[in-house]
Parts: sequence; structure tokens; C-alpha cells
Amino acid sequence: MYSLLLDSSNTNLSVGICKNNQIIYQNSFSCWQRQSELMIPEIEKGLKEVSLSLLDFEEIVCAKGPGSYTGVRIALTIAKIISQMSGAKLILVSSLMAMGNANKKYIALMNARSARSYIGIYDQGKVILEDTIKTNEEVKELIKEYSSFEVVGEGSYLGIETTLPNEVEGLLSWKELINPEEDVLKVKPVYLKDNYGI
Amino acid sequence: MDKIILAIESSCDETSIAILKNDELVANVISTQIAIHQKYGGVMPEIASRLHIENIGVVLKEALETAKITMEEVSAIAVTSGPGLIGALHVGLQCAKTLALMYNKPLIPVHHLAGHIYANEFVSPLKFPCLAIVVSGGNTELVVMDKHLSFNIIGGTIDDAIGEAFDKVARVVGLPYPGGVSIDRLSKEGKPTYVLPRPKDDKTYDYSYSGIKTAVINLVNNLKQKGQEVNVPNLACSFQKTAVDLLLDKALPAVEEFNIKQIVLAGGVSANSYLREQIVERTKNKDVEVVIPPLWCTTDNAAMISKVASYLYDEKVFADLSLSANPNWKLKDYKNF
Amino acid sequence: MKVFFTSKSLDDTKKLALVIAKNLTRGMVISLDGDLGAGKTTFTKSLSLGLDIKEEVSSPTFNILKCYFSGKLPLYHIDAYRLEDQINMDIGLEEVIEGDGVCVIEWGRFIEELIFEPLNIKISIINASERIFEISSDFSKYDLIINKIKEELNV
Repeated sequence: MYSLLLDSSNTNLSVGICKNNQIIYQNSFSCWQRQSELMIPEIEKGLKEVSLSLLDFEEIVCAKGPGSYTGVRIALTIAKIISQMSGAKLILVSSLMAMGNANKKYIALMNARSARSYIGIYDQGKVILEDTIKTNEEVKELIKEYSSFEVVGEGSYLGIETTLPNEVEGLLSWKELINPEEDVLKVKPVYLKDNYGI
Repeated sequence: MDKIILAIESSCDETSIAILKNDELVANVISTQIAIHQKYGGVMPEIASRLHIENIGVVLKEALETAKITMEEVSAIAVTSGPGLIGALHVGLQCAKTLALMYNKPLIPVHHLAGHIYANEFVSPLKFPCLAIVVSGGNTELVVMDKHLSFNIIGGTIDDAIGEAFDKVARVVGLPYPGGVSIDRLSKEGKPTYVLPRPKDDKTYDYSYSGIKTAVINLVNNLKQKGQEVNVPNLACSFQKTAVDLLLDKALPAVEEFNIKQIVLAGGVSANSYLREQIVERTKNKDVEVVIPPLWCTTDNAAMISKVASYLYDEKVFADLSLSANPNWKLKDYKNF
Repeated sequence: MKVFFTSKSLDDTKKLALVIAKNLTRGMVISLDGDLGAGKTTFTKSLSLGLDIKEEVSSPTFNILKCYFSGKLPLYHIDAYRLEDQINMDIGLEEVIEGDGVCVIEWGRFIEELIFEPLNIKISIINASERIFEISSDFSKYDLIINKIKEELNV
């Protein structure tokens, strides 16, 4: 069974290909503002290396947000279309969850601007704090409270050290715990800062 | 073998996918967001982008089902890669690139304004030399074409687009979005009693609509300060007449200068009833054909994109998969992507 | 800090814009206010020249946001004119306002809550060709710019 793993929710662009849940290809690099340009070529590169086509995947695992609005939409549009056209299962993982390994205890962080952060806290596959937005002060309190948890993601904007995320591993580790989307056509990103009321 | 182009358009507030089979349009699906943007007085780019990703799957499904074709039969995937709203463009672009990669099809980048010009081919083939008067919310350009896919920009706005001026004036007098539609409708109930300036009223092909907009605003403010009522239908009519008369006064001399055989209107403002009436009226004694696009062509749609793509396909103008959105793409640079 | 600059012509406005452009750094935000016709977009065009941006900068009223990447720094040009009543709306501009380039926001006062640490520029119309620019900020990172304006333009 082949799986395609995709994330472009933040400054990184990550592509992973798995065979029977073993990673046979992965690449992740920083490319702020260029995901739209580079995501498909990266996928193409991966496919060539393992001699697969987009039609060979049984499942597509994609980060659904929160994060950069444009970034999240890039990977998700690609994932949606592949799934819709090929019939592959579509599994959506929170972009915060995808930063770390489901087997571990960690706090996932992203800069949400205006002195706030996107944050999620997970303990070996269990959600301790569901993805939300907190003020940076509140975040610092939470980091103190969960001092035995690793902090993964962005940290420089808070002046703290963090572990760099590994999105491909993260997506792989979480996908078993998440049900595939029932209606691929209705799939949309998670923005968290929702005030539209459309 | 059939030439089948699948085209995707998402540059503004319409998500559209069309399928052109040789010369026949076998599908043109449009999911419009206009009603949603109305309460914001105009397109909100973030909302547009969100709606594009929500709608694109459904639009694709419907287009393929309506056309009764499979992806294997498609010859090429075309997509508007600019100009437009950057976030919105990205969605259509990713869809196109994914399909191109998945089914190993050539990818054709199309310029949105070229689309509007070629929309006229659904009425009548382009005849050269052709003068395209491109007028929309975001653009005002005069384009001379001496053959297919050859765009010579002879002039355009140096500040606001004519459509933008319509939107801003409408907003100032309290009319709903889209401003052009409101002003057009209300003008019919008014008379051109207000005198407005005609900026850049010279022999060049360049325009300055910012000046008219400012004049209307100053007029409204002055009247309000004096406690006088603004006669909105008359103001709408005066503005529309000034804007359109100026457009044609400066554009029509190109017919002689460039030996134009055909004039086409392109873009959202070509739906304006006064413009449609005046262009026919003012050219009736000239030896030039005028093509007025049907209303369904004046709003954004993928059908017009598929038309341009059909010509680009013949010339093998293809992009590789690193194609990126170009929100500021200029028509004269349509081969640079 | 605050400084006033009187512009008697387009050339004067260009000079001001150039001094500011030369001293802009990543992450800086300019909140630009003034009535319709005051010359906010004109000022921004001159600013873009100072940043070596090759594309023509035009009004973003229709698009709300226009981005230019061809210069020394990315320029994000926002027009908040249509955002006046949308106080609680999430318009997705924060990434750009607190971003990796320079952000110029026309009608900034309509989205004040979203603007992070701005340099405020208010343009007042005196007559057809004269403007008074009020350049001010509560944030010390713009002190250099304000001092340069005083030095190089003798105000």
C-alpha cells in the first residue's frame, strides 16, 4: 500500500512517500512564499525516484492547518484533487500535530501573529490541548506547566529553543489514529481564526 | 484526433472549469461568489481564496460529467496563472498542476485578459488588425492585435481602472456592489446633469480615471456641506457618460491609425449598456466590425481561457510544473511565465 | 517622534519617499492615511522606486493586497478602504503585515487593530499641488527614518 504525505502549512514544504507505512522517500525544506511554485515539482521528483505515479496511491495524508492560509491551501488543494480523481483515501492531520511524533509528548507551536500563537499539546497520541490560539504569555505559562513535554515548531519569535518539526514523520505517525474524510469534495482547511460566518 | 482543452479559472471571485472539444464548448461550469462578497462592498481576497478551495472539487466533477469525457482524453490542461488575486490564483493553479502531473498532460498558462479578449470568439472569429478595448475592475487597456496571440498595448490607465472607478463612485453614493451594475441600472433613471472633468483629455491612448473618481467625491462632499441633496440617478448617469465617452473618444482614433478591421470589447465593464450602445452608435459610419461579447462572456469564466489555450496549444506554448501564479502579469509579457 | 514635511510638487513627494525607502528594513509597516485624492498611491509608487521595484505599482483598492517581489525587499501594498466596517473579520493579512518585507497600508486607520508597530504617515491636502506630510511613530525602530528626513530634507 502506497501513501503520499504532504505539508505546506508553514515555511516548510514536505513531501513523503511510504510503502506499507515505511518511508521510501522524503524531502522537507524551507521555501517561504514558493510552495505554490515548488510543491508539484517536488512531488514529481519523489515519484520519479520511487517509480510511482499519482494514481498508485491508496491514501493521501495531508496537513489541514492551522498555519499560513495560502500555505495550507496549496497542499490541501493538491491532496483533494488527487483523492477525488483517483479514489485514494484522504486523511487530514492537524498541522500542529504533524510537527511531532504521535508516540511522544510534545507541545506544537506556530506564530499566529499579533502576539499570539497556534498551539496544541499531545501526549503519546492523546490530545491534551486541542489546537487553539493563545496569547504568547499564556503559551509561556503552558510551556512551564508542561515542562516535561518537548516543544516543537517555531520558537525564535518567543525567544525559546524548540525542536525542529519533522512533518513527514509526524503525518505518518498520526494517520493511523485519524479517520479518512467521508466526503472529499467538502474538505476545507482549518484556519482557527474564523470570523467570517459565511 | 480531438483537441480537448480543460481550462481552469480562479483569478477573482468565480471558480470556473470549462472543456473545449475542438471548437465546441462542451462544459462551462461557474461557481460564483458575488453574493458573498456583496456585504463587504467588493471582493475580499481571503474569502475568495477560501471559497475557491471549497468549490474547486465540485466544479471539476461537474465539468467532467457535463462534457462526458475522461481525463485520459484531455489534450492539455490550461489555467489562468495571472493577473488576479494571488491567493485565488494559487487554488486554480494547484488543481491544474496536479491534473497535469497525474495524467501527464501539457500545462498551458493563460493570461486572464487574453481570455477576455478571446471570449469574443464565441460570437465571431477575431479579424486583424483587431482593437481590443479591455475594461474591467482591475484593468483598462487598449490592445491592437495584428494576428493571433500578438498583443500590442497602445495605451491604458495610469492610475485607476475604469471598473474600479465605477465601484468607488458607487460606494461613495451608497450603491451596492458590484458598483458597475448598480450605476448602469440607475443611470437609466437619470440625466447627465452634473458636469465632471475629463482627465488626460489629450491625443494619447492613456487614461486617468482616478481624476473622475476624485471629482465625484469632491462634488458629493461639497453638496453635502451645503446641505444639498445629491441626485443619485443623475450623478450615476453623469459619471457613466463621462467615463464611457472619454473611453471611446480616446480609443476610436486608433481605428484609423492602426487600420483596424474589428473592434472587440473585453472584460467586466463590457457589460455596461451605455458602452455597448455607444460603441455601435459611434462606429456605424466607419468601415469596422464591432463585436460585443454576450453577457455571459463579460464575467470571469473558464470558457474564454480554454479558447486562448486552444491557440496556445497549436503553438506548443507550454509551461513546466514549476509554473507559479503571477498576479501582476502584464499582457505584453504573456509569453514570459 | 514626529516630523512634518511640506511638499509643493510631485518631485518633493518623490524626494521624501526616497529618503524613507532607503532606510526601510524587513518587517516595517507604514500606515498611510489621507483623503481620497491626497496621493497615497502616488506616494507608494515613489516609495517602490526607492526599493528598486521594477513593476508598476497601482491602486490595490480592487484587490486589497498587491505584492511586488522584484525589488530589494518584498513590498506588500494594502488598501484598507473597503475594510472600514469589517472590524472583526479575519482578512488573512497578518502574515503580510508582520511579514518578511515592507508593508504599506493605505487607509490604515480602518484596520488599526491589525497593524503591528507602524510608521504613521498622514497626508493633508493644502491645494492642487501642495501636501503636508505628517510622519510619526511611537516605535523607536523608525527613529532613524525620521532623523534622516530631518537631516536630508532640512525640516
